[in-house]
Amino acid sequence: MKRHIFSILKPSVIVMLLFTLLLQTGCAFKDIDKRLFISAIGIDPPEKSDEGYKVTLKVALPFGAIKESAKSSYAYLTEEGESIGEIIRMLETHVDKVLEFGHMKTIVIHQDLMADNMDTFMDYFFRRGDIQLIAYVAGANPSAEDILRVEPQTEAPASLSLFNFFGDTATESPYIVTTFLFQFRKDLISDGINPVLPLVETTKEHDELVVNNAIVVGKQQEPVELSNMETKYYNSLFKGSSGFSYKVEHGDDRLLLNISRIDMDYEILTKNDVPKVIEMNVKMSGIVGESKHPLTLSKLDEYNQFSSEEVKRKIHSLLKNMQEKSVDPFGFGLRYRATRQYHEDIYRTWEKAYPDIEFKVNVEVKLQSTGTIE
Amino acid sequence: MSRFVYYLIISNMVANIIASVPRILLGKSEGGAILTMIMALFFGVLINWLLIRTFSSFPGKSLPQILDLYVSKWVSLPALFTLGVVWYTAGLQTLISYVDLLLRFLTPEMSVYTIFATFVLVISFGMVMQSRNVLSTLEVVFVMLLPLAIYFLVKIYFNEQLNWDHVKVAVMYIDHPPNYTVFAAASYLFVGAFDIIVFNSLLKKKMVFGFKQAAIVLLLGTFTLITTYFVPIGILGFDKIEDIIYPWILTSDSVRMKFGVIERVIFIFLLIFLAIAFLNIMIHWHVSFKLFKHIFQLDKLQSRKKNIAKSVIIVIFWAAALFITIQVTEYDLFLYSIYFFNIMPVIVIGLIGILLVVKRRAKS
Amino acid sequence: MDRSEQQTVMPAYLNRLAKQLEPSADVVKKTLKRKGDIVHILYLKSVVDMMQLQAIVVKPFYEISEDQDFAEYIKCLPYETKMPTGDEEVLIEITKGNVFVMIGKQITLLELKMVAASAVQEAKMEPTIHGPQLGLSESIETNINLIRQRYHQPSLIIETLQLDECSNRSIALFYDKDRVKPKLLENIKKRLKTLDVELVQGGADLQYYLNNKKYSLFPTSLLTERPDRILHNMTAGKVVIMVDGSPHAIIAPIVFFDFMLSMEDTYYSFWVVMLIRFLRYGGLLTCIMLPAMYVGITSYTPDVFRTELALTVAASRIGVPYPSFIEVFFMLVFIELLTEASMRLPTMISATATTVGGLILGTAAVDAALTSNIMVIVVSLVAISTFVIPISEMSYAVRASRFMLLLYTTAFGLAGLVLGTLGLVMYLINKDSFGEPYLRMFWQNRQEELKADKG
Repeated sequence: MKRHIFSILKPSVIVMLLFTLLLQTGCAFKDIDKRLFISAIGIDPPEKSDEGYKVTLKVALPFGAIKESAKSSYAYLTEEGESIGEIIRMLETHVDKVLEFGHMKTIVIHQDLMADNMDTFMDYFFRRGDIQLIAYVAGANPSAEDILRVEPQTEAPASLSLFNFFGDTATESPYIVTTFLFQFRKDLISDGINPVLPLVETTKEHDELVVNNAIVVGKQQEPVELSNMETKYYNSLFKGSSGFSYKVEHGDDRLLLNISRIDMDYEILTKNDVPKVIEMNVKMSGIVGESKHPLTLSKLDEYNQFSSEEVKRKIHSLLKNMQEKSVDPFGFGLRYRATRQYHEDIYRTWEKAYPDIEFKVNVEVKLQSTGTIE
Repeated sequence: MSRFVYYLIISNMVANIIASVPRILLGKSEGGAILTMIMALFFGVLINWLLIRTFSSFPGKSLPQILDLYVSKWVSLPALFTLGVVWYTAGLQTLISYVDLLLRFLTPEMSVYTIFATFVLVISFGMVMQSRNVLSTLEVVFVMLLPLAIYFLVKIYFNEQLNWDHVKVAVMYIDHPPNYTVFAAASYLFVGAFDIIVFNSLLKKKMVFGFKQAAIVLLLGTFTLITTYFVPIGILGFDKIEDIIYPWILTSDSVRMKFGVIERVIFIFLLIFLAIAFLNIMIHWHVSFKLFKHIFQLDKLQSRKKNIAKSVIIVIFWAAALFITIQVTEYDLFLYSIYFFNIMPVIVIGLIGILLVVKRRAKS
Repeated sequence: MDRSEQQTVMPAYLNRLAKQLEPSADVVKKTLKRKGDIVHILYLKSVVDMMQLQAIVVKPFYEISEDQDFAEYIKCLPYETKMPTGDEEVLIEITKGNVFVMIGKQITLLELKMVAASAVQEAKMEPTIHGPQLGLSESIETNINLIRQRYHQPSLIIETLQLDECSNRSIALFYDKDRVKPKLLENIKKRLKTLDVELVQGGADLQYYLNNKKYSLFPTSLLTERPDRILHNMTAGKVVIMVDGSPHAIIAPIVFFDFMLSMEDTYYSFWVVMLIRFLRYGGLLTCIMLPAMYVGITSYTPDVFRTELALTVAASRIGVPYPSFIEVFFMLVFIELLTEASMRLPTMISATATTVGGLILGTAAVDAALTSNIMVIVVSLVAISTFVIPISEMSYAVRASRFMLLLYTTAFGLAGLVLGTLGLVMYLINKDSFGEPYLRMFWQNRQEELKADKG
């Protein structure tokens, strides 16, 4: 019986396979060297008209021998138009190969565009199936095109600097916020949280990329730029990034603390169903990394105390600052929704209460040693 | 219970993660999805219990054989025909979803016909294969995929981007009233074991469905439902999750392997689930094929004619599938899936009803 | 006529036999004559051990005292083989090296074989570092001896039978009657008896005939030259078939996993064996899937790669004029030719062939931009991993099947790769070896389940 099955299937299989092979002249079969890998995309406001966008694509060019070519090589494509999709369609006519978006890993957005309703143009990226959701999203200053065109000295061929900044495989720093596309989307459409994007800047000579600021994207509000210090605190407290170091001044003493562990939790306290107080407990432990004066181990408690005070003040001012600008990058609102039974007014209650909410921050710094010397 | 029954249950649960079920569940995330899922969980265990209990009185007999013995043709033929169509539709639904997925995420430039053709050969082979070998295939493929699947699950659960606040927001909707479609879709995850209406002829040992088995099914179901429902919410956010057509694909695309051979987990996911979806289609269509074979009494024909008749059934299967795949849009697919799920509990209860009647007759 | 004279003349029967053997030069018919006794012997001198004949038959004949009966002596010799009925069969026995002795009406066959190739050979195809170094010999007697030496069990049954083909070789079936499944044994015997072939030369072709299917890719029985593997399988209840003149034994039935087992595995500690097995299955997957994967990824879904890798691969393909699948196909054919060539050549030259082919041509092909260097890596990896499969028949089958998979992936992309692999798995599962499933998972209650399947 089995042989009969084969006798039906076998010829049809072979015929079918050959047939499809012959058909394979056009559609999906495209060799890898006939594709152009877009590695980053930059979005700017248009220069020629008022409406629409300017899109810059950074295309990584494969070179004959990657090992031998000392410098990385990229091609740039720029075009203006009304919508992102339309511009990319136009750009496809500028090159001889297929534009491949599968490796597009960084989306750089001009700072000014963040004021607008961002989901109108971000929609293109969410909707397109072949764009990875683990692409990084970043803000750009002065413009996305400028940032993309920077080719830093330290950049190796076939490995884009921007990826290394955000990828966590190369540099890791508490100043660098990493936001993935899916995360950006999630924060953008969720009530009770504002997305935070890293801000990429460049030096005057256009030979270095600097990432140490972040920007909070508002939904109805203006975007708020975080200072380095605020970025660092945001990152360490809410994103769990490591390598936090902190400078404390106390009278004549100046200490640099290397904090290795930070535990943070907070609770929203309500009175008559209205959120009143956010109580935040932060525990830090680490060692002293640098000091102006010689230190004694016996005085560790003292150092702990004044460090705690300092850190507490800084955190409080960060929270206060965000509250004043009425943005919520920390997701307090989301947490409020997550801990209360759903009712229709739940978010409105929060929105009303947030500007007047009070922050109570308790910080406990625990220094474990003074380093290798006293 | 034979281990193959577990495989059937698991394969059906897992295969439906990619298809329309999560979309239906998440679509009612601001409605009564959670409460409904809890209800479906117990319903699912209950129908499995009833099924195994009734079938355990007929070890080694498939449903067509049982019906032939105890019920008149006027009852058995329409019943089997309905089941055949239902099982065909079940396979077809997975097939269309997957063709659609491949088209959207793996090879966007490929023509629908080519993607469709990829399946034809192997699934046809699976349909005509002996039932015993179908079960073995299920097992072998499971063993092959298990390490990858476990890796994937661990990766996704330990992902730091999995935001528990969003999950908690979703949990806060627990007090909303249940919804029938969600109930039907969630309990559809449990109908995997119903494939034994054909495969029971191979399971000669008398099956037991005691407390332990019920607990295993319950656990499997709980885990699957929790994973299906809460993981996409945690990763993609609670708000507007209902807009996403393939929540699980986007979820898997949001997971990154920092140091992996490939960085984007989505490809591992797509390929694992391609294999599982394939198993699912193959099993459903195998069952359907067997049912039709019984209805048209192909076994009584001589071998040459039988082969022709078999080929005719296969050609009809594929022709219908191709026609529907081309015609149906994503929205239609979603809509028809809902109709399909809505009917499913009725079919299941009807089937169990028939089985209970037969069991009583067999006893007297 | 005188009585003695009457007997000096060859008996008609003997003459009839001798005539059928003529005009071979090595036919010897002799009449030993002594007072009162006459013995006629007929043999082929090329296959009979002359020294033994001299010592066992000729010498005693003249030394034996008159009152003793020489006929009785011959009858008692341990060398006697069972006398078959019919001329044809007797002749076959003579061609096998038996000496036909006729004393009056008493006829006897004495087995005084001289086997030229009874030396035990080194195990070449399946070498191990530990474990026995010697394999089987080309003589079936020696082989039977080898097995008996290693397996002292009265339940070990060795059945010899003869096929209905023209070389009339003896074939031996080995099995442990306590462990073998009677149904299976019956099945194999039936298959052997109903074989309709012209000539069986050795284990390999008998295996092919036993297979019973004209078009079949994967072997359904295993060919081995190692006594330890034979015993390993025999204790598992399998049947071993040996053909006289062939240093290989056939083991049947077989499951897929048996082909992935090297005898070395039994000689190492658990974790080492696990590691080796892991490597081996990894190698299997690599050599089946890697070429197809290359095509699927580079030509359909380059997103799978990491960006750096994608760029490297794209860079290495610059200037290659052919689409990836033709590139892969050419290189695979090339490597197959190379393997095939080095296998057929004497060892001394084959090293040169591989060097010229592998190193020089490979580099030149890359330099000439006929192929990418990533491709060369892929193909060499595939070639190496093919050799990890311990049994060469399986590695042939695997080599062939990867072309199928390549074709399927070229047509359908990565989805084709996955479904093609599943198709291959299904094909293997659907196969059976002498009625036993070919590919199945092993669990404790497997036997029970199989019984349930059939019952």
